[in-house]
Amino acid sequence: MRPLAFSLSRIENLMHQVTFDPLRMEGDIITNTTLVDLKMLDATLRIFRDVMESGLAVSPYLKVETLGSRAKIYSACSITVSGVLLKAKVPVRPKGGGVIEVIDREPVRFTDMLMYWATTIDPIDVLISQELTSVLEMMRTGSGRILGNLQEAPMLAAERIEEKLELLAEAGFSGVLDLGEPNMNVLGVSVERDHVGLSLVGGTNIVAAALSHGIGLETESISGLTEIGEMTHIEDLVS
Amino acid sequence: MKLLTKPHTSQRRLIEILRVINASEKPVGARAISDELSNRGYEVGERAVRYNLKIMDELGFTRREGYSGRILTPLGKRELSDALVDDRVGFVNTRIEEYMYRSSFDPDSGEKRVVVNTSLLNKRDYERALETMALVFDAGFTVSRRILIQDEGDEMGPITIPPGFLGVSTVCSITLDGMLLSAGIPVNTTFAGVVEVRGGALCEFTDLIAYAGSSLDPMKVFMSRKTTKVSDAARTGDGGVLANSREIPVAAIDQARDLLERAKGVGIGGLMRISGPGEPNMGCPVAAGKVGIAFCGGVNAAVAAGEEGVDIVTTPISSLLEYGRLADLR
Repeated sequence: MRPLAFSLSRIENLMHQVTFDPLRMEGDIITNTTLVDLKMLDATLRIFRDVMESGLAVSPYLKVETLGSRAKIYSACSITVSGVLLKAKVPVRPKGGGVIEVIDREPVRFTDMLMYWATTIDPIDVLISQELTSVLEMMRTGSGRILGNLQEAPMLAAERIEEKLELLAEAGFSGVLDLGEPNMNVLGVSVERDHVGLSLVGGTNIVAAALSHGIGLETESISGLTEIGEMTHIEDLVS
Repeated sequence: MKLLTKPHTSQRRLIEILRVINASEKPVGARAISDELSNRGYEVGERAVRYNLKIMDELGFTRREGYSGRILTPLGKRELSDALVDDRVGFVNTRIEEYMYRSSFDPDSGEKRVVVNTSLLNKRDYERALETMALVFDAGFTVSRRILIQDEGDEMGPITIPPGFLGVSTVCSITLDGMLLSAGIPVNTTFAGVVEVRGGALCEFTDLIAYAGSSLDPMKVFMSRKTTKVSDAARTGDGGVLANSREIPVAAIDQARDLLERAKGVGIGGLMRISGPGEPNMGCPVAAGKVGIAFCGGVNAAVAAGEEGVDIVTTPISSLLEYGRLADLR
C-alpha cells in the first residue's frame, strides 16, 4: 500500500525536481496525466486545443503515448510555474486549489477552496469530481467557473516573480489569473502579512472541459515530470 | 450578473443578513433581522438593515414577500454558498462544534439527544437497502445500529419527506464527541477519510481531508467520489469504510475510554481505534500531547446501500433526535 502523503509534500517534491529553463526550452516540467480511449483521442485533443486557445491552460505542449487501446496524455501542470520560481530562489508556497468564478472574462473570486496541506487527494481532482466547474460555458460566454490555484511568496520577491512570469509567457507557459499587490487579497482569499498572492489557471481545465463534453477519461493531477523536449505543440497534434 | 463589490467588512455584514434570512423559516422583516444580527455581534440598526435590503433587492438576492418580509431568491442562495470563501474554509468544524454543544448524550442518565445523519430512500429499494444496512451494522462499521425510519409526509429535520420516499436517520459520530465534551474533554475533530478494512478490522487510512482546510464538507466529498467499498467490507471483511479522527489531550484518555465503554453499553460505539500519545492513528497525523481517536462514519450503512445501486441520498450531521425514538435494526 502506498504511504499516505499530503498534496503539499507531493507538490514540493516535484517542484524541487523541476529543471525547466524557459529560455532554452529544455528540462523537466510537472505534468498531469489523462487516460482516454484511442477512439476518442482526436476529439479529446480538439477540445484541449479550444481550451488552450481560450487561455485556460498552462501551456500548449503535450506528450501522447499509446497504452494498448488507450492513449496516455501528459499535459503541463501549473505547479511547473512554482517550480521555476523556486529555482529562481523565490520561496514560493503553494496554498491550495479551488474553483474560480469568471465574469466577462475577468476572474472575480474563488468560490470553493481546498488547502494543499489538508488533503491527500489533489484538490483539483476533488473539485472536478464535485462537478462545480463550467469551463465550456466560460469559453462560450466569457462567464463560468474554472479550476485554479493560489500560491504565496514574500512581497520582496514580487519583481523577480514578474520577470520570471514574463519569460515563461514568452515560452508559451501562461495562465496567470492574478498577481496581487502586497498584503492584498487575491480573488477573495487573504494572504499572509508581507506576502503577495499569485493565482494560476489549473492545467486540468482541459480535462474538465472534455469531461463536460461527455468524454470518459481518467485523470491524475500533479502526477510526475516530463522533459519538455519530448512534448509536442498542440497544433502539430491536431489536424 | 452583478456581485457585491463592497469592502470586506460591509460585504460580511451583507452576507450575514442573507444568512439570517436563510435561517428563518418564514419571511423576515428588517426589525427581526436587526435583532438577530445583534445576537451575532453585528450592531446594525433597523434603518440600516432596510437600506441594505434595498441594495440586495436590486442585486436580485432578496425579494419582498407579504408585508415587509424578505426571502432569498435562488440567486441569493447561490451567493450565500459562493461568497467569502475565506470564511467558509473550515466551516464544517464550526458546524460540528454547534452540534457537539447542542447534543446531550449521557450513557448513565435518561438525557439522550443524539446527532443524526439523514437519508432519503426510494421506497421501491426499501428491502434491499435495509438488508445491506443490517450487514454494515453487524460488522460494526457505524456508530450505532439504532435507526429511525419515517414515512413520506413526515418531518425529518428541516425537510418534509417527499412522496415515494422514506426518511432514515442514523446516529452520527459527533454524538460521541458531544459526550466527551460534556465531561469537560476538549475535542478537536481533525480529519475525515477512507480506512482500509482487512479481515473485518480497521487497518490504515488510504485518504484524508482535514476539516479545517476545506470549503467543502470532507465527508460529502468522500461520499460523492465513490471511493469506498463499505458493502464489500461488510460482506467479505475486505474493503474501505468512511471514518473520522479527533484529538483529545493525553490527560483525558482514561476518562474518555471509560465513557466510550459505557456508551457502548447503551448501543453507541462501533469499531474504533485509539492511538498512542502523539502517534499517528492508522496513518492519520496526531499532534504532540494529544491522543487520536477514530470512529467509523455513521453514514457508512447508507453509503453501502448506495454502492449496491439503491436510490439513497444522505446528509451528514443533519439534525438532533431523542435517542429513545430510534430502534434496533435486526
